[in-house]
Amino acid sequence: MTRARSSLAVLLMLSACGGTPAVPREAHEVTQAEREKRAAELAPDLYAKAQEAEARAAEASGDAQDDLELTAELWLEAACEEADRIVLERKRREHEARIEAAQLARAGLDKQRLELEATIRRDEAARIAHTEAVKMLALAATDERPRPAGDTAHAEVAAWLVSRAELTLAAARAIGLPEPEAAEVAAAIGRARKPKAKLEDAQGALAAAERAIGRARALRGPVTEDERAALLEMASERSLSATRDARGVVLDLRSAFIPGTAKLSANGRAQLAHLLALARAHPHGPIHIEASRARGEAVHKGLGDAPERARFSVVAQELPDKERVFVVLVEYGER
Amino acid sequence: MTLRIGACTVLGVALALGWAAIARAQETATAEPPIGGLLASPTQRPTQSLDPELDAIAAQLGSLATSKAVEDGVVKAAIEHGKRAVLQATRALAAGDAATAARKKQLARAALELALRAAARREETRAESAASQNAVQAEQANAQAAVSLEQTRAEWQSLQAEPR
Repeated sequence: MTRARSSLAVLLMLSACGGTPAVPREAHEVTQAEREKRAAELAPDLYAKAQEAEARAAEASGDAQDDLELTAELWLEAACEEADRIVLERKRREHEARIEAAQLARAGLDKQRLELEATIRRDEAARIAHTEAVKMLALAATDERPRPAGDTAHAEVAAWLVSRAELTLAAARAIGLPEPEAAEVAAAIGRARKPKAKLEDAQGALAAAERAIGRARALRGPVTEDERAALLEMASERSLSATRDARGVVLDLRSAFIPGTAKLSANGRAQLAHLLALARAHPHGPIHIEASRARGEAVHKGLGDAPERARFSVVAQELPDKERVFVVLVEYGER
Repeated sequence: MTLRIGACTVLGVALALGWAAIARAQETATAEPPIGGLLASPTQRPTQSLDPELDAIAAQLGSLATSKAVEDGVVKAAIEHGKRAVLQATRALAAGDAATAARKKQLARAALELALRAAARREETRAESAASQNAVQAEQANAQAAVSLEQTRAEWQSLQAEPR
Protein backbone atom coordinates (compact mmCIF):
# COMPACT_ATOMS: atom_id res chain seq x y z
CA MET A 1 0.00 0.00 0.00
CA THR A 2 2.97 2.35 -0.43
CA ARG A 3 1.79 3.91 -3.65
CA ALA A 4 -1.54 4.57 -2.16
CA ARG A 5 -0.05 6.69 0.56
CA SER A 6 1.17 9.50 -1.70
CA SER A 7 -2.20 9.83 -3.39
CA LEU A 8 -3.91 9.53 -0.09
CA ALA A 9 -2.16 12.69 0.94
CA VAL A 10 -3.73 14.35 -2.09
CA LEU A 11 -7.12 13.12 -1.01
CA LEU A 12 -6.62 14.46 2.45
CA MET A 13 -5.40 17.76 1.05
CA LEU A 14 -8.55 17.91 -1.00
CA SER A 15 -10.56 17.15 2.05
CA ALA A 16 -8.81 19.86 4.00
CA CYS A 17 -10.20 22.41 1.56
CA GLY A 18 -13.76 21.78 2.61
CA GLY A 19 -15.48 22.17 5.91
CA THR A 20 -14.81 21.00 9.40
CA PRO A 21 -12.54 18.30 10.66
CA ALA A 22 -10.64 17.15 7.64
CA VAL A 23 -9.31 14.14 9.49
CA PRO A 24 -11.05 12.45 12.36
CA ARG A 25 -9.71 13.09 15.82
CA GLU A 26 -9.05 9.39 16.14
CA ALA A 27 -6.88 9.45 13.02
CA HIS A 28 -4.57 12.02 14.55
CA GLU A 29 -3.73 9.69 17.37
CA VAL A 30 -2.01 7.10 15.16
CA THR A 31 0.33 7.19 12.20
CA GLN A 32 -0.91 6.33 8.72
CA ALA A 33 0.97 3.02 8.83
CA GLU A 34 -0.77 2.16 12.09
CA ARG A 35 -4.12 3.19 10.64
CA GLU A 36 -3.60 0.86 7.69
CA LYS A 37 -2.57 -1.98 9.95
CA ARG A 38 -5.62 -1.39 12.07
CA ALA A 39 -7.79 -1.19 8.94
CA ALA A 40 -6.50 -4.62 7.86
CA GLU A 41 -7.61 -6.01 11.25
CA LEU A 42 -10.89 -4.19 11.76
CA ALA A 43 -12.17 -3.76 8.19
CA PRO A 44 -10.69 -6.77 6.36
CA ASP A 45 -13.29 -6.78 3.55
CA LEU A 46 -12.57 -3.16 2.53
CA TYR A 47 -8.86 -3.66 2.96
CA ALA A 48 -8.97 -6.74 0.71
CA LYS A 49 -10.68 -4.69 -2.00
CA ALA A 50 -7.91 -2.11 -1.78
CA GLN A 51 -5.29 -4.82 -2.12
CA GLU A 52 -7.07 -6.37 -5.04
CA ALA A 53 -7.32 -3.01 -6.85
CA GLU A 54 -3.66 -2.32 -6.19
CA ALA A 55 -2.66 -5.72 -7.54
CA ARG A 56 -4.65 -5.09 -10.69
CA ALA A 57 -3.09 -1.63 -11.01
CA ALA A 58 0.35 -3.19 -10.92
CA GLU A 59 -0.55 -5.27 -13.96
CA ALA A 60 -2.20 -2.41 -15.86
CA SER A 61 -0.76 0.61 -17.63
CA GLY A 62 -1.75 4.10 -18.71
CA ASP A 63 -5.18 5.43 -17.72
CA ALA A 64 -6.26 2.03 -16.47
CA GLN A 65 -3.36 1.96 -14.03
CA ASP A 66 -4.20 5.45 -12.78
CA ASP A 67 -7.85 4.54 -12.30
CA LEU A 68 -7.04 1.34 -10.46
CA GLU A 69 -4.51 3.07 -8.22
CA LEU A 70 -7.06 5.72 -7.30
CA THR A 71 -9.64 3.00 -6.71
CA ALA A 72 -7.17 1.24 -4.39
CA GLU A 73 -6.56 4.47 -2.50
CA LEU A 74 -10.27 5.05 -2.03
CA TRP A 75 -10.88 1.50 -0.77
CA LEU A 76 -7.93 1.81 1.58
CA GLU A 77 -9.14 5.10 2.97
CA ALA A 78 -12.63 3.63 3.33
CA ALA A 79 -11.10 0.77 5.31
CA CYS A 80 -9.20 3.23 7.50
CA GLU A 81 -12.36 5.28 8.10
CA GLU A 82 -14.26 2.15 9.04
CA ALA A 83 -11.48 1.11 11.42
CA ASP A 84 -11.50 4.59 12.95
CA ARG A 85 -15.25 4.34 13.41
CA ILE A 86 -14.95 0.95 15.09
CA VAL A 87 -12.30 2.26 17.48
CA LEU A 88 -14.47 5.28 18.26
CA GLU A 89 -17.47 3.06 18.79
CA ARG A 90 -15.52 0.94 21.26
CA LYS A 91 -14.48 4.08 23.13
CA ARG A 92 -18.07 5.32 23.13
CA ARG A 93 -19.22 2.03 24.62
CA GLU A 94 -16.57 2.37 27.32
CA HIS A 95 -17.84 5.87 28.09
CA GLU A 96 -21.41 4.59 28.19
CA ALA A 97 -20.37 1.86 30.61
CA ARG A 98 -18.70 4.54 32.76
CA ILE A 99 -21.88 6.62 32.63
CA GLU A 100 -24.01 3.65 33.65
CA ALA A 101 -21.66 2.74 36.49
CA ALA A 102 -21.54 6.34 37.71
CA GLN A 103 -25.32 6.67 37.52
CA LEU A 104 -25.83 3.43 39.42
CA ALA A 105 -23.32 4.46 42.06
CA ARG A 106 -24.94 7.87 42.33
CA ALA A 107 -28.39 6.36 42.71
CA GLY A 108 -27.05 4.26 45.58
CA LEU A 109 -25.41 7.25 47.23
CA ASP A 110 -28.52 9.38 46.80
CA LYS A 111 -30.65 6.63 48.29
CA GLN A 112 -28.37 6.37 51.32
CA ARG A 113 -28.39 10.14 51.74
CA LEU A 114 -32.18 10.36 51.48
CA GLU A 115 -32.59 7.57 54.03
CA LEU A 116 -30.16 9.30 56.36
CA GLU A 117 -31.94 12.63 55.91
CA ALA A 118 -35.25 10.96 56.72
CA THR A 119 -33.66 9.45 59.83
CA ILE A 120 -32.35 12.88 60.83
CA ARG A 121 -35.80 14.44 60.34
CA ARG A 122 -37.42 11.66 62.36
CA ASP A 123 -34.81 12.04 65.07
CA GLU A 124 -35.28 15.80 65.19
CA ALA A 125 -39.05 15.40 65.35
CA ALA A 126 -38.68 12.81 68.09
CA ARG A 127 -36.39 15.12 70.04
CA ILE A 128 -38.85 17.97 69.79
CA ALA A 129 -41.77 15.71 70.72
CA HIS A 130 -39.78 14.27 73.59
CA THR A 131 -38.85 17.68 74.94
CA GLU A 132 -42.45 18.81 74.67
CA ALA A 133 -43.73 15.64 76.31
CA VAL A 134 -41.30 15.93 79.21
CA LYS A 135 -42.33 19.53 79.77
CA MET A 136 -46.07 18.88 79.58
CA LEU A 137 -46.05 15.72 81.63
CA ALA A 138 -44.00 17.44 84.31
CA LEU A 139 -46.52 20.26 84.40
CA ALA A 140 -49.47 17.86 84.42
CA ALA A 141 -48.03 15.75 87.21
CA THR A 142 -46.87 18.50 89.55
CA ASP A 143 -49.52 21.17 89.11
CA GLU A 144 -52.03 19.96 91.61
CA ARG A 145 -52.86 23.30 93.15
CA PRO A 146 -56.20 24.90 92.44
CA ARG A 147 -55.90 27.07 89.39
CA PRO A 148 -57.96 30.04 88.39
CA ALA A 149 -60.16 29.55 85.34
CA GLY A 150 -58.63 30.71 82.11
CA ASP A 151 -55.10 29.85 83.17
CA THR A 152 -53.35 29.60 79.81
CA ALA A 153 -50.69 27.16 81.06
CA HIS A 154 -53.46 24.93 82.41
CA ALA A 155 -55.31 25.04 79.09
CA GLU A 156 -52.14 24.33 77.16
CA VAL A 157 -51.28 21.30 79.26
CA ALA A 158 -54.85 19.98 79.05
CA ALA A 159 -54.89 20.37 75.28
CA TRP A 160 -51.56 18.56 75.01
CA LEU A 161 -52.80 15.71 77.22
CA VAL A 162 -55.94 15.34 75.10
CA SER A 163 -53.97 15.27 71.85
CA ARG A 164 -51.63 12.73 73.39
CA ALA A 165 -54.61 10.64 74.43
CA GLU A 166 -55.96 10.78 70.87
CA LEU A 167 -52.64 9.60 69.44
CA THR A 168 -52.40 6.81 71.98
CA LEU A 169 -55.94 5.67 71.18
CA ALA A 170 -55.14 5.71 67.47
CA ALA A 171 -52.11 3.50 68.13
CA ALA A 172 -54.25 1.15 70.23
CA ARG A 173 -56.79 0.87 67.44
CA ALA A 174 -54.00 0.21 64.96
CA ILE A 175 -52.76 -2.80 66.91
CA GLY A 176 -56.21 -4.30 67.36
CA LEU A 177 -58.10 -2.73 70.25
CA PRO A 178 -61.74 -3.92 69.98
CA GLU A 179 -63.96 -1.10 68.78
CA PRO A 180 -66.42 -1.03 71.75
CA GLU A 181 -63.48 -0.43 74.11
CA ALA A 182 -62.02 2.17 71.75
CA ALA A 183 -65.37 3.96 71.62
CA GLU A 184 -65.44 4.28 75.42
CA VAL A 185 -62.00 5.88 75.43
CA ALA A 186 -62.99 8.14 72.56
CA ALA A 187 -65.97 9.32 74.60
CA ALA A 188 -63.71 10.13 77.56
CA ILE A 189 -61.42 12.10 75.25
CA GLY A 190 -64.45 13.93 73.86
CA ARG A 191 -65.51 14.96 77.35
CA ALA A 192 -62.01 16.16 78.17
CA ARG A 193 -61.99 18.31 75.04
CA LYS A 194 -65.00 20.38 76.10
CA PRO A 195 -64.27 24.00 77.07
CA LYS A 196 -65.36 23.58 80.66
CA ALA A 197 -63.44 20.36 81.19
CA LYS A 198 -60.89 20.24 83.98
CA LEU A 199 -57.24 19.25 83.78
CA GLU A 200 -58.18 16.08 85.65
CA ASP A 201 -60.52 15.16 82.78
CA ALA A 202 -57.61 15.39 80.36
CA GLN A 203 -55.42 13.35 82.68
CA GLY A 204 -58.21 10.77 82.99
CA ALA A 205 -58.59 10.62 79.21
CA LEU A 206 -54.88 10.02 78.77
CA ALA A 207 -54.92 7.33 81.47
CA ALA A 208 -57.85 5.65 79.70
CA ALA A 209 -55.98 5.78 76.38
CA GLU A 210 -52.87 4.32 78.03
CA ARG A 211 -54.92 1.54 79.51
CA ALA A 212 -56.46 0.96 76.07
CA ILE A 213 -53.11 0.55 74.38
CA GLY A 214 -52.05 -1.75 77.20
CA ARG A 215 -55.16 -3.82 76.56
CA ALA A 216 -54.42 -3.94 72.83
CA ARG A 217 -50.84 -5.04 73.53
CA ALA A 218 -52.05 -7.74 75.88
CA LEU A 219 -54.46 -9.01 73.22
CA ARG A 220 -51.71 -9.02 70.60
CA GLY A 221 -49.56 -11.52 72.48
CA PRO A 222 -46.10 -11.69 74.07
CA VAL A 223 -43.88 -8.65 74.52
CA THR A 224 -42.30 -7.42 71.31
CA GLU A 225 -39.03 -5.59 70.83
CA ASP A 226 -41.01 -2.49 69.82
CA GLU A 227 -42.85 -2.57 73.13
CA ARG A 228 -39.58 -2.80 75.04
CA ALA A 229 -38.29 0.24 73.18
CA ALA A 230 -41.61 2.06 73.71
CA LEU A 231 -41.42 1.39 77.45
CA LEU A 232 -37.95 2.90 77.69
CA GLU A 233 -39.03 5.88 75.59
CA MET A 234 -42.11 6.45 77.73
CA ALA A 235 -40.03 6.26 80.91
CA SER A 236 -37.62 8.78 79.44
CA GLU A 237 -40.50 11.14 78.57
CA ARG A 238 -41.73 10.87 82.13
CA SER A 239 -38.27 11.71 83.48
CA LEU A 240 -37.91 8.30 85.06
CA SER A 241 -34.43 6.82 85.09
CA ALA A 242 -34.74 3.50 83.24
CA THR A 243 -32.31 0.84 82.07
CA ARG A 244 -32.76 -2.59 80.61
CA ASP A 245 -30.92 -5.72 81.66
CA ALA A 246 -31.57 -9.41 82.11
CA ARG A 247 -33.88 -8.73 85.08
CA GLY A 248 -36.18 -6.53 83.03
CA VAL A 249 -36.64 -2.81 82.55
CA VAL A 250 -35.36 -1.31 85.79
CA LEU A 251 -36.64 2.05 87.03
CA ASP A 252 -34.64 3.86 89.69
CA LEU A 253 -37.03 5.59 92.11
CA ARG A 254 -34.43 6.61 94.67
CA SER A 255 -35.23 10.28 94.06
CA ALA A 256 -38.89 9.70 94.94
CA PHE A 257 -37.94 9.66 98.64
CA ILE A 258 -36.66 12.20 101.08
CA PRO A 259 -33.07 11.04 101.69
CA GLY A 260 -32.63 8.86 104.73
CA THR A 261 -36.36 8.28 105.15
CA ALA A 262 -39.16 6.16 103.74
CA LYS A 263 -41.27 9.23 103.03
CA LEU A 264 -42.13 10.19 99.46
CA SER A 265 -40.73 13.54 98.36
CA ALA A 266 -42.81 16.28 96.66
CA ASN A 267 -41.71 14.85 93.33
CA GLY A 268 -42.25 11.29 94.53
CA ARG A 269 -46.03 11.31 94.01
CA ALA A 270 -45.57 12.47 90.42
CA GLN A 271 -43.05 9.69 89.84
CA LEU A 272 -45.53 7.13 91.12
CA ALA A 273 -48.21 8.57 88.82
CA HIS A 274 -45.80 8.11 85.91
CA LEU A 275 -45.02 4.60 87.10
CA LEU A 276 -48.72 3.76 86.98
CA ALA A 277 -48.95 5.18 83.46
CA LEU A 278 -46.10 2.91 82.38
CA ALA A 279 -47.82 -0.07 83.97
CA ARG A 280 -51.12 0.77 82.26
CA ALA A 281 -49.56 0.96 78.80
CA HIS A 282 -47.30 -2.10 79.26
CA PRO A 283 -49.48 -4.86 80.61
CA HIS A 284 -47.17 -7.88 80.50
CA GLY A 285 -46.00 -9.65 83.62
CA PRO A 286 -45.41 -8.77 87.25
CA ILE A 287 -43.62 -5.67 88.53
CA HIS A 288 -41.17 -6.04 91.40
CA ILE A 289 -40.35 -3.27 93.86
CA GLU A 290 -36.80 -4.00 95.00
CA ALA A 291 -36.14 -1.86 98.03
CA SER A 292 -36.03 -1.89 101.79
CA ARG A 293 -39.28 -3.13 103.23
CA ALA A 294 -40.29 0.36 104.42
CA ARG A 295 -39.62 2.06 101.11
CA GLY A 296 -41.10 -0.82 99.15
CA GLU A 297 -44.33 -0.62 101.08
CA ALA A 298 -44.37 3.17 100.70
CA VAL A 299 -44.24 2.75 96.96
CA HIS A 300 -46.92 0.10 96.97
CA LYS A 301 -49.16 2.20 99.15
CA GLY A 302 -48.48 5.29 97.04
CA LEU A 303 -49.98 3.58 94.00
CA GLY A 304 -53.38 4.04 95.59
CA ASP A 305 -56.30 2.00 94.36
CA ALA A 306 -55.34 1.90 90.68
CA PRO A 307 -56.15 -1.47 89.05
CA GLU A 308 -52.51 -1.83 87.98
CA ARG A 309 -51.43 -1.96 91.60
CA ALA A 310 -52.19 -5.68 91.66
CA ARG A 311 -49.19 -6.34 89.41
CA PHE A 312 -46.78 -4.75 91.89
CA SER A 313 -45.15 -6.74 94.66
CA VAL A 314 -42.50 -5.76 97.16
CA VAL A 315 -39.31 -7.80 97.04
CA ALA A 316 -37.82 -6.62 100.28
CA GLN A 317 -34.05 -6.52 100.35
CA GLU A 318 -32.14 -5.50 103.43
CA LEU A 319 -29.06 -4.16 101.73
CA PRO A 320 -26.34 -1.80 102.97
CA ASP A 321 -27.69 0.80 100.55
CA LYS A 322 -31.05 1.45 102.14
CA GLU A 323 -31.74 4.33 99.81
CA ARG A 324 -32.02 2.10 96.80
CA VAL A 325 -35.46 1.68 95.20
CA PHE A 326 -35.71 -0.27 91.97
CA VAL A 327 -38.95 -1.05 90.20
CA VAL A 328 -38.50 -3.91 87.70
CA LEU A 329 -40.90 -4.77 84.86
CA VAL A 330 -39.63 -8.30 84.55
CA GLU A 331 -41.20 -9.25 81.22
CA TYR A 332 -39.43 -6.46 79.37
CA GLY A 333 -35.83 -7.52 80.00
CA GLU A 334 -33.16 -8.38 77.46
CA ARG A 335 -33.76 -11.64 75.64
CA MET B 1 4.37 54.84 -36.48
CA THR B 2 6.76 52.12 -35.45
CA LEU B 3 5.37 52.32 -32.00
CA ARG B 4 1.82 51.94 -33.34
CA ILE B 5 2.80 48.93 -35.42
CA GLY B 6 4.52 47.43 -32.37
CA ALA B 7 1.50 48.01 -30.19
CA CYS B 8 -0.81 46.46 -32.75
CA THR B 9 1.45 43.44 -33.00
CA VAL B 10 1.51 42.98 -29.23
CA LEU B 11 -2.26 43.39 -29.09
CA GLY B 12 -2.70 40.93 -31.93
CA VAL B 13 -0.48 38.35 -30.25
CA ALA B 14 -2.24 38.87 -26.96
CA LEU B 15 -5.64 38.44 -28.60
CA ALA B 16 -4.46 35.33 -30.38
CA LEU B 17 -3.13 33.88 -27.13
CA GLY B 18 -6.35 34.85 -25.41
CA TRP B 19 -8.55 33.15 -27.99
CA ALA B 20 -6.35 30.08 -27.79
CA ALA B 21 -6.71 29.98 -24.01
CA ILE B 22 -10.48 30.39 -24.25
CA ALA B 23 -10.64 27.66 -26.88
CA ARG B 24 -8.60 25.33 -24.66
CA ALA B 25 -10.80 26.09 -21.71
CA GLN B 26 -13.93 25.31 -23.72
CA GLU B 27 -12.39 22.09 -24.94
CA THR B 28 -11.53 21.08 -21.40
CA ALA B 29 -14.99 21.99 -20.23
CA THR B 30 -16.50 19.78 -22.91
CA ALA B 31 -14.19 16.92 -22.03
CA GLU B 32 -14.57 17.18 -18.25
CA PRO B 33 -17.16 19.64 -17.03
CA PRO B 34 -16.95 20.93 -13.45
CA ILE B 35 -18.14 18.41 -10.88
CA GLY B 36 -21.21 19.16 -8.85
CA GLY B 37 -23.19 21.15 -11.36
CA LEU B 38 -23.64 18.42 -13.91
CA LEU B 39 -25.12 15.77 -11.67
CA ALA B 40 -27.32 18.30 -10.00
CA SER B 41 -28.66 19.52 -13.33
CA PRO B 42 -31.07 17.06 -14.99
CA THR B 43 -30.82 18.85 -18.31
CA GLN B 44 -27.19 17.90 -18.69
CA ARG B 45 -27.67 14.24 -17.78
CA PRO B 46 -28.04 11.62 -20.50
CA THR B 47 -31.70 11.44 -21.41
CA GLN B 48 -31.99 7.72 -20.67
CA SER B 49 -30.31 5.52 -18.10
CA LEU B 50 -27.39 3.56 -19.50
CA ASP B 51 -26.56 1.76 -16.23
CA PRO B 52 -28.99 1.53 -13.28
CA GLU B 53 -26.13 0.82 -10.86
CA LEU B 54 -24.42 4.04 -11.87
CA ASP B 55 -27.70 5.86 -11.37
CA ALA B 56 -27.97 4.39 -7.88
CA ILE B 57 -24.42 5.43 -7.04
CA ALA B 58 -25.10 8.93 -8.36
CA ALA B 59 -28.28 9.14 -6.32
CA GLN B 60 -26.52 8.14 -3.11
CA LEU B 61 -23.72 10.60 -3.77
CA GLY B 62 -26.29 13.31 -4.44
CA SER B 63 -28.07 12.49 -1.20
CA LEU B 64 -24.82 12.63 0.77
CA ALA B 65 -23.91 15.91 -0.90
CA THR B 66 -27.04 17.53 0.53
CA SER B 67 -26.58 16.08 4.01
CA LYS B 68 -24.74 17.49 7.01
CA ALA B 69 -22.06 14.85 6.47
CA VAL B 70 -20.62 16.93 3.66
CA GLU B 71 -19.26 19.30 6.31
CA ASP B 72 -16.61 16.65 6.86
CA GLY B 73 -13.66 17.16 4.53
CA VAL B 74 -13.12 13.49 3.77
CA VAL B 75 -16.79 13.01 2.90
CA LYS B 76 -16.77 16.04 0.66
CA ALA B 77 -13.63 14.97 -1.19
CA ALA B 78 -14.97 11.43 -1.67
CA ILE B 79 -18.23 12.78 -3.09
CA GLU B 80 -16.30 14.90 -5.59
CA HIS B 81 -14.28 11.86 -6.68
CA GLY B 82 -17.41 9.79 -6.96
CA LYS B 83 -19.31 12.35 -9.01
CA ARG B 84 -16.44 12.74 -11.40
CA ALA B 85 -16.14 8.97 -11.83
CA VAL B 86 -19.90 8.59 -12.43
CA LEU B 87 -19.76 11.24 -15.12
CA GLN B 88 -16.77 9.66 -16.78
CA ALA B 89 -18.37 6.22 -16.67
CA THR B 90 -21.57 7.58 -18.19
CA ARG B 91 -19.65 9.21 -21.01
CA ALA B 92 -17.63 6.05 -21.62
CA LEU B 93 -20.83 4.02 -21.80
CA ALA B 94 -22.32 6.47 -24.24
CA ALA B 95 -19.17 6.22 -26.34
CA GLY B 96 -19.34 2.42 -26.23
CA ASP B 97 -16.11 2.11 -24.21
CA ALA B 98 -17.20 -0.67 -21.86
CA ALA B 99 -13.74 -1.27 -20.31
CA THR B 100 -13.30 2.37 -19.26
CA ALA B 101 -16.89 2.53 -18.06
CA ALA B 102 -16.32 -0.50 -15.84
CA ARG B 103 -13.15 1.01 -14.33
CA LYS B 104 -14.80 4.35 -13.67
CA LYS B 105 -17.80 2.61 -12.13
CA GLN B 106 -15.48 0.73 -9.76
CA LEU B 107 -13.89 4.05 -8.90
CA ALA B 108 -17.28 5.61 -8.25
CA ARG B 109 -18.27 2.66 -6.08
CA ALA B 110 -15.08 2.97 -4.04
CA ALA B 111 -15.58 6.72 -3.66
CA LEU B 112 -19.19 6.19 -2.51
CA GLU B 113 -18.03 3.58 0.00
CA LEU B 114 -15.43 6.00 1.35
CA ALA B 115 -18.01 8.79 1.61
CA LEU B 116 -20.42 6.52 3.50
CA ARG B 117 -17.75 5.20 5.86
CA ALA B 118 -16.40 8.67 6.50
CA ALA B 119 -19.91 9.94 7.21
CA ALA B 120 -20.44 7.09 9.66
CA ARG B 121 -17.10 7.82 11.30
CA ARG B 122 -18.06 11.48 11.55
CA GLU B 123 -21.25 10.56 13.39
CA GLU B 124 -19.35 8.21 15.66
CA THR B 125 -16.82 10.95 16.40
CA ARG B 126 -19.63 13.18 17.59
CA ALA B 127 -21.29 10.41 19.58
CA GLU B 128 -18.01 9.42 21.21
CA SER B 129 -17.24 13.02 22.10
CA ALA B 130 -20.70 13.51 23.63
CA ALA B 131 -20.44 10.24 25.54
CA SER B 132 -17.03 11.24 26.84
CA GLN B 133 -18.40 14.53 28.15
CA ASN B 134 -21.43 12.81 29.62
CA ALA B 135 -19.21 10.29 31.36
CA VAL B 136 -17.16 13.07 32.92
CA GLN B 137 -20.34 14.83 34.04
CA ALA B 138 -21.81 11.61 35.44
CA GLU B 139 -18.63 10.92 37.39
CA GLN B 140 -18.57 14.48 38.70
CA ALA B 141 -22.20 14.15 39.78
CA ASN B 142 -21.31 10.87 41.45
CA ALA B 143 -18.44 12.50 43.32
CA GLN B 144 -20.77 15.30 44.39
CA ALA B 145 -23.31 12.75 45.62
CA ALA B 146 -20.56 11.09 47.67
CA VAL B 147 -19.64 14.45 49.21
CA SER B 148 -23.31 15.17 50.02
CA LEU B 149 -23.64 11.79 51.68
CA GLU B 150 -20.52 12.40 53.76
CA GLN B 151 -21.87 15.78 54.85
CA THR B 152 -25.18 14.21 55.83
CA ARG B 153 -23.34 11.49 57.75
CA ALA B 154 -21.32 14.15 59.58
CA GLU B 155 -24.55 15.99 60.43
CA TRP B 156 -26.08 12.76 61.73
CA GLN B 157 -23.02 11.99 63.84
CA SER B 158 -23.02 15.46 65.36
CA LEU B 159 -26.73 15.07 66.18
CA GLN B 160 -26.03 11.70 67.75
CA ALA B 161 -23.35 13.27 69.89
CA GLU B 162 -25.78 15.86 71.29
CA PRO B 163 -27.20 14.91 74.68
CA ARG B 164 -30.85 13.93 74.69
